[in-house]
Amino acid sequence: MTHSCILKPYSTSSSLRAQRSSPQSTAESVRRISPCFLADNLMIGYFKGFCTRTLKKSFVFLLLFSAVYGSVTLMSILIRFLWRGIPTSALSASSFILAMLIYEPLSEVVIGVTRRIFFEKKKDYAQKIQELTDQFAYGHHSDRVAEAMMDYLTREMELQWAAVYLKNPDDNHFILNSCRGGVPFRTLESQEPFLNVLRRVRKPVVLRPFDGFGLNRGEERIVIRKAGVAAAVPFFLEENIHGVLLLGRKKSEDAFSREEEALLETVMEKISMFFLSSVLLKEAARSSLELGQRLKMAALRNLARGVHHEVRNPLHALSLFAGATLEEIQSQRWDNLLPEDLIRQIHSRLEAMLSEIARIRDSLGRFAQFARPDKQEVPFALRLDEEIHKFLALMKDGHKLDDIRVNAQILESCKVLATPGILQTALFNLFNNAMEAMKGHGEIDLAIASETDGFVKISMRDNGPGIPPEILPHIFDEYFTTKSDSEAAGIGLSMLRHQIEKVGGRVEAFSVPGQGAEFIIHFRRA
Amino acid sequence: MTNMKTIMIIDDEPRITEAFMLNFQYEEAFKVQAFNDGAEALKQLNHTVPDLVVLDWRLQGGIQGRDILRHLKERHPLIPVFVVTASIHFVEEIESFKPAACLLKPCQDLKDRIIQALKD
Repeated sequence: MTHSCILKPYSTSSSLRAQRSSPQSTAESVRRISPCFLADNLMIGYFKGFCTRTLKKSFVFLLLFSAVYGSVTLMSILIRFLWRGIPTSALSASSFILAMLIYEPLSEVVIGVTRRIFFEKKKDYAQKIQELTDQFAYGHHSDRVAEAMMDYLTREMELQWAAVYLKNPDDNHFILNSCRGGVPFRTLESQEPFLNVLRRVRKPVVLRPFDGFGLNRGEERIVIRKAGVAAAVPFFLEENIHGVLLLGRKKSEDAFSREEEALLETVMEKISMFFLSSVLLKEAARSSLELGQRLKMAALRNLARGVHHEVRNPLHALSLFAGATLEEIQSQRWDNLLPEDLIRQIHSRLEAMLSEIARIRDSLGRFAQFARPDKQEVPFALRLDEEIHKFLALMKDGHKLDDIRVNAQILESCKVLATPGILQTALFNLFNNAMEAMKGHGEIDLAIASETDGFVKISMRDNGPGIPPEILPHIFDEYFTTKSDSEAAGIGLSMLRHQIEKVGGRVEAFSVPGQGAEFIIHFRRA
Repeated sequence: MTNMKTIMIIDDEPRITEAFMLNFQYEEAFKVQAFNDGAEALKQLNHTVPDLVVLDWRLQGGIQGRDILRHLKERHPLIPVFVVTASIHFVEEIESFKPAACLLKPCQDLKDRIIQALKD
């Protein structure tokens, strides 16, 4: 079985579901992608949902109406029995007002109870929490995470509306980031009463029946209900609220269950964690130049050893040529040569020496190009074949290819969007990893292939021992390393991933233990 | 001609062996045998024994400088071997074999040192 670890900038809920789906359900999902089939399904689904909700509401209304009507009738009979002088109209009016007052909170209880008894399928909330956790675990972008969360919650809880607000660092107001359904606010003041409530309680506040009517529990729920919100979930960044998720009532109009409240707590914890990691990532990105330089320095030091070799060898030849020539002149061996022989002799020596000088110049030039800081931040169209030839020449200079055979299948005139620095560093790091895995001896298959989705893939496969399956999913994690003495311990592959993602690409690793490892970089085609 | 000394140079770079030979082309007391391939040099060493060997440590192909040095130390421990290398990182390993000299490329006064060693 091939173990794979796929890293993408973000992952949508659908792709996650696809990853989890079994082979049988994959076949089913393939069948489902027909547009007509999808449209039919959507319409049928919408119609079914509408019918179910209408049926539930009618059922509940009848139940509630019967209860209220029965109570009022009973009360009227009782009151008239005790106080015969009371006018029937006053009694009816007060009964009606009372029924109106209790209708709203009562409806939530009745709806909840009837749903549970008659309609609700048993939901496995442990599974739901796990699904939600998985969704956030793959997110790398706050907007995408917010969208995924909105989709998930509105679908799972059948909400009338839901919205995420994120703090604007300029004025500390909370701005609408993403929403589903009709949202009551576009922005929230920093000192909004219910935000203060959330700051105090530091957990999701979910309305339950009778909450906020003064009949049950604290002031915080009164504030929440006044704001027209059914549930408010704060996201904390360290001690401060960084965002808030507001949920409207459910389409079925029943209250949130305890399990759903637990789900929202999970949302709070995970999203808060996401913001924290996102801030750390931003900090890392801010110092990415420094980190990138560190990674590059490690690569440079590694290469310098080989380039040193590549410079000393031609210098040695130069020194031998110069020594021989000087000695021949000093010992007057050239004095008796014919002028044309002398010229031929000098010419051939100078040619040999110049070719050695050119070798040094080329080698240092390639090295300097690799060592130069990547000033070009914006990716641009790069000829992949040229860059790979340059890279292989550099590896040859660095004597990296002495015991490594590279089988290169390079597609001509293929352009990708990247920066030379990112591309060369990516190739170097993957090459070096492969070389270390193969303990300096082995074969590397380097191939370029054009993909149908607008990407070009560079695959580098070695014939080393492979990556153990327990390690494979973590190799791109920050500070994960199996090396103790690496210059860039634990930042190599994670930094590489960030750099590749920075230019819109992605990187994957595959390995079958005992049969080598394969790294695939996908760059956007230019 | 009986006291003509044979110097064997083993270096995978033809330009280096060529330049080395130029240094000895007018020296009648010395004959230079040049090899760019370690395996061929090793084969030759089984037939003839040079008076001095100039050996590059890192060679292209399967046979490396260390294989040749090991062979010489076992079979002909008295032949002086000048090991030359372009990388400082091999010096420690080379010196563990105790060759006559371990020189970093580009070598200064290589010819003089060779002649001196052969005189001794």
